[in-house]
Amino acid sequence: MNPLTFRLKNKVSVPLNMERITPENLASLSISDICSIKILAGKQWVNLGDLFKLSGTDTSQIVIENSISNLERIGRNLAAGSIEVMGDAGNFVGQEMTGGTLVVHGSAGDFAGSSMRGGTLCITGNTGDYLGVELPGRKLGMNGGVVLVEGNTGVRTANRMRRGLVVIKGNAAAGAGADMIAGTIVLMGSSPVDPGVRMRRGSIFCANQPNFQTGSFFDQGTVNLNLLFLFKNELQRLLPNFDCNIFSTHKSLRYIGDRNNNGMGELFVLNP
Amino acid sequence: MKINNIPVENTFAEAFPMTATRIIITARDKKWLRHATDSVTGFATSVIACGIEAGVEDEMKPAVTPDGRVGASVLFFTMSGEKLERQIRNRIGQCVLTSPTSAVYSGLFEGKTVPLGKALRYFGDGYQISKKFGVRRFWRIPVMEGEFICEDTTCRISAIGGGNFLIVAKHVDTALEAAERAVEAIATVKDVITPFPGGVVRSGSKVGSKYQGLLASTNHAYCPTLRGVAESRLPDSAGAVLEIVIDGLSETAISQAMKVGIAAACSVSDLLLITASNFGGKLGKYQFQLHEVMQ
Repeated sequence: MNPLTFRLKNKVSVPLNMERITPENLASLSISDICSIKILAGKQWVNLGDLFKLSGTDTSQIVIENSISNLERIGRNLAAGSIEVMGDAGNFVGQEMTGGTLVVHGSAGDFAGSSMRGGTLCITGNTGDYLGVELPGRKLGMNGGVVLVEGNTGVRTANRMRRGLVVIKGNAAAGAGADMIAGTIVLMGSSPVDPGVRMRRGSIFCANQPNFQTGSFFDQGTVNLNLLFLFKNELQRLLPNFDCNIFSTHKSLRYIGDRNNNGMGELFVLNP
Repeated sequence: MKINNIPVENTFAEAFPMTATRIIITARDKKWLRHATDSVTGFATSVIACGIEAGVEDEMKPAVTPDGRVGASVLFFTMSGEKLERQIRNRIGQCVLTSPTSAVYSGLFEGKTVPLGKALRYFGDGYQISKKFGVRRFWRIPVMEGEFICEDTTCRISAIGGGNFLIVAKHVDTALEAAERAVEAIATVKDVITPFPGGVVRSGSKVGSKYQGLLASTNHAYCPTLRGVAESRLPDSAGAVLEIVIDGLSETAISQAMKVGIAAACSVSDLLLITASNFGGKLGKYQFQLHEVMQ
């Protein structure tokens, strides 16, 4: 069966709330039923069929073509199946995902993967601020799942992360993994600034030496831990296309902290 | 039936149900892996007095171990899940946790859960770190040498203990040569171990004893020195009998191990007989007919 494809007919100037477009919500609906689903465009409810041209029948695989950054909340509460976004995605992509796969072939806005609990979110471009953070009023940020961003990310990346894996191939803005409680972050970019500030537990792997401005991480020097190889295997399993060679070592620099927060988080530098 | 002109008696090996688990142990090199595996499988020949039967199932190359170092898969067999949990906790805690550079991973992923790191993590005194990769949780316990990585749990499944065959020869040298060849051949079979020293038992036992409270005693029918004193099942010229005991995760695995083991033993000429130990069905529900196994 062909994937159910939504092709945006014309560019829109207002945000579209796409949260109803998930395999779970569309299962067993006919094309005409789907076309008559109402979504919020700005402040108005409009029929999906008025905005998108639909083709295909397989609701477990959804493709959104001609996507632009006004398409918000794509894949919100995604639990199973897949959504592929051809183009940019707006804010809140993959918010509160619990399963399935969401791929954005472009950049995403703010709050991507916020309060995510499972599944895999891949973004080939950049993301805005607050990737994988906690939603307002909640104690925990990401609590499971995998996020891969091939470009750069904005501030507060993986803030208050509790569980899961975030991989940033580009550069992350200052303070990635701040207030981290547990989980794993990989920062492949050059010289991340103050990663893991105020972290309590969890692991941050940096490809390059970070720029610590707080001075609250204890330098343990070179360590020889099997964890790195275990982690490499896990990365290969979760992200088969990701080049994991940098983890093909048992040795790295290790910092522990954040001591300002009595933290036992760990920060590895793989290529010091 | 004869193999290489050596008679194989039309009898059966009697085996009994057990519960078993598999763990993977890795270390920096073969030397330290050997120290860890020797230690964890020590005093684990028979459930009669050791409480557990254990042995190295296979050596593993770095490419197939979870942490890319040399490893070994080790099988443990006991009569109950509770005993298995206690033995595993004590053995991993005292023999592998203490062994430099070692790490422990689950080798079975289906069945009932057996705690590994879940029970040992408290050694970390609050400094232990949990790391969850997918559905697998690993405990990182700080130790003076660095860090001991131990998977949270492994699994246990129903298994079989006591698959066996007896090698009867004129001289002990011949019997030992055949036994060594058999154990070497059995080592190539997956899902089985030969838990006794060098894989060979010289003191095969029968169920019960004339002495009260003794669960097992010498299998007098196969003791050459008791011919003429007690009932014997040995040919007249027999001078030594050695037993190969096999524990396995399935009937198929034990059958296969017996088959290759008997075939390898029979490559030594001058053997008098291949037979098997059984107790008329009193010991266990599994019966491995030698003639069927060798088909």
